[in-house]
Amino acid sequence: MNILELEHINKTYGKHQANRDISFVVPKGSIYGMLGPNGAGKSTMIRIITNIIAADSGVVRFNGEVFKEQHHQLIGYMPEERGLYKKMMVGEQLVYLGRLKGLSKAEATKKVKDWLEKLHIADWWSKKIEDLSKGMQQKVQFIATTLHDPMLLILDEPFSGLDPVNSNLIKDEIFELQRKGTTIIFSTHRMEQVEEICEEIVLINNGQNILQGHVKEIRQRFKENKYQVLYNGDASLSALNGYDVEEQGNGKLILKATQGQSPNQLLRALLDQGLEIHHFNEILPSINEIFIRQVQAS
Amino acid sequence: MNKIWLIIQREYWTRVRKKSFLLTTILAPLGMVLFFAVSILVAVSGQTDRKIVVIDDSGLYTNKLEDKNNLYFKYADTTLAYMNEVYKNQGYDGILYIPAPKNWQTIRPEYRSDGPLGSNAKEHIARQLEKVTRNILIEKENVDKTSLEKINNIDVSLAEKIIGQEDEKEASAEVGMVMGYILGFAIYIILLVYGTMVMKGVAEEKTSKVVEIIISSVKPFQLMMGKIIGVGMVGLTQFLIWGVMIVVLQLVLVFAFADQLAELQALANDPALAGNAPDQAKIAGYVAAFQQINLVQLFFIFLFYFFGGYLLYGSLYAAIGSAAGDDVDSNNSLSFIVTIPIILSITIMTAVVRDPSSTMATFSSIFPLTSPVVMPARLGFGFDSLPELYWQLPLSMVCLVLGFTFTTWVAGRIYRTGILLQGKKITLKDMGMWLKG
Repeated sequence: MNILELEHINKTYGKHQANRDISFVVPKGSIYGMLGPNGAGKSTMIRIITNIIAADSGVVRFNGEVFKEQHHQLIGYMPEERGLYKKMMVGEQLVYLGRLKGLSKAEATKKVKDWLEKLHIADWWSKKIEDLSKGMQQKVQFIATTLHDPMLLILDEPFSGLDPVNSNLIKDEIFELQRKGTTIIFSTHRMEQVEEICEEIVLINNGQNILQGHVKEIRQRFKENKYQVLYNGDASLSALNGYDVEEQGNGKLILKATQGQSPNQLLRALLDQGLEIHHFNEILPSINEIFIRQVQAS
Repeated sequence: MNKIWLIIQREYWTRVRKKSFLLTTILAPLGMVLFFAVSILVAVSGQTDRKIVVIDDSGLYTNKLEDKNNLYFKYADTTLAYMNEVYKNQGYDGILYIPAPKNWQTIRPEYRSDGPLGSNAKEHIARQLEKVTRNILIEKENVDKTSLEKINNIDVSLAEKIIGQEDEKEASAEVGMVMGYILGFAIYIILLVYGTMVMKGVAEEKTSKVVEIIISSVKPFQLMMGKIIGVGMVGLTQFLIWGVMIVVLQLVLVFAFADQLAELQALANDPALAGNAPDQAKIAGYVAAFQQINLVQLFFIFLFYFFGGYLLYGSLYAAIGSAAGDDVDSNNSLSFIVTIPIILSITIMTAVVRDPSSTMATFSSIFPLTSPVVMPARLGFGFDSLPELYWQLPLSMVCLVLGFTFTTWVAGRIYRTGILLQGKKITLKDMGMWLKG
């Protein structure tokens, strides 16, 4: 079951085409990565999903239905360009934002209190936003996004400006929400986070969808049959046919199987050389490498 | 609808709870009252007791000057040179020297003292001397006093009547002018102050980047209208508080300064100051003209133009605010485009109150960009003076409704694009494009 289905989305601003025929689906309960360099059209895509702007053509389906006004309440959105009312107090502001999402005053108040407690900031209720540090404001922002228990959470660069401690805190919350069944779309240009967090990704460049699928499957798809070996002994590699040695020294070897040999075949060949193998692994390309390769190619 | 209400509440409460709101709301009427209090005190302060010794060379004025307004006259049969030396020691504040008149048309007395006399006292002494001199002359020239008074009391005032009205009520152009000016000016201030407040609010929401979060919950148009209405209610609250405070403080003033006010009243009504005092008949005319104005009707029409004009300009200001960038200068030049017609309205309005039935008056009170300021100003004159208002007023109201419907539509289109654009300098041409798209 998919929570979100996008079909042939197009959006043009003046002469600039921000989205070109983009289609993808987000499975319910997943953490879905939306990747792309700056200016690729990610934010436009998100604004179309959240119904902030309308697509020129194409269809967005939320939970199987064409987007309706009521769906606003089922989505939590943390934009990249984020901010809060500086002069308002934390508690009052969060209750207001919760009520705009359809919570009653009592519900919103209770949930805000619970969240502040959970993030160990219960005493912030009557602090003004302008008196908080940027990292502290991010936490408040995160609460504002998730307060109404959305089915779909869209986070645009959620870790920008956060220190490692707070990043981890938010990351844990994201996993926690996923465990409870929330689907999370996570937009970023920082690839290491994607590998760590996302199960599936879509890669957008120049307004187009250039790659999509499961992270593991994509890495497999782009693998180059590279292996790393840690060994003991005197390796005479001249006898190894069909392998390019990319790096050798200090008991470490990186080589590439050029004829599609299996890892077992490589291992056997190395053992036949009389080497003592301590460690053997296949090197899969990182999403970052794939990303750069794909962006440069497209 | 529920969400608009939430937005209105937020916009309203965050502003009303601000210290600056409390300060301006409370201090402005206090300042006004203080101004009145000070002016009364200043007027009355020239009224300390003064003992004045009169040296009357001719003897014709002796014992004829009236003690009044804290001035007490004593008469001394001595020389001016001697009195110059001793008046202080004898307990006098000053010397009034009246030389024997050589020519009865020009009397040149002197007041001598070490301090100033004050304009009220000076005026009083001069009028007293004039009155006594007049009586001296009446006797001297053997004029019949009653005939003279008849001749002196001729009163001419030009009455203006409107033909074709049942009881030919007297129209007081002055009252209409003042009333119209006050109403037009009030709307002008409202449009400028609260329109700018809307613009600043929108620009703040955009630059603080909270706007995208809000419009992921509500439609941009809802946010814009919520803000315009919320700020409008702040304005209404402020005016209401001012109204109540002014009434209350006036009452307090009347009680606190009862004595001083009574004195002023006495000054004004003093027949001895006839040349100076306002004409009783004229005052009665003003009062009658004022009573003819249907205040309740005027109040509701005023409210209509208040809301209509505010919605029209508030939405335009919101559109300008949504185009705000980080560059303050370019924001100012854009907002000027909206401010110009408001300033133009007040210029036209000052001309219109002088000639409320001119073609310009008719046109500008129907055209929706100027009508919120000009029409209330014309209404100050009343339907009796300007019967054409019977058809012009409904037409003007319809035009204003169409006007603000159009501007809110235009503003909504500009707004929904403008608030999402960050870091780009926005031109009028861009806004034109957004209207189409």
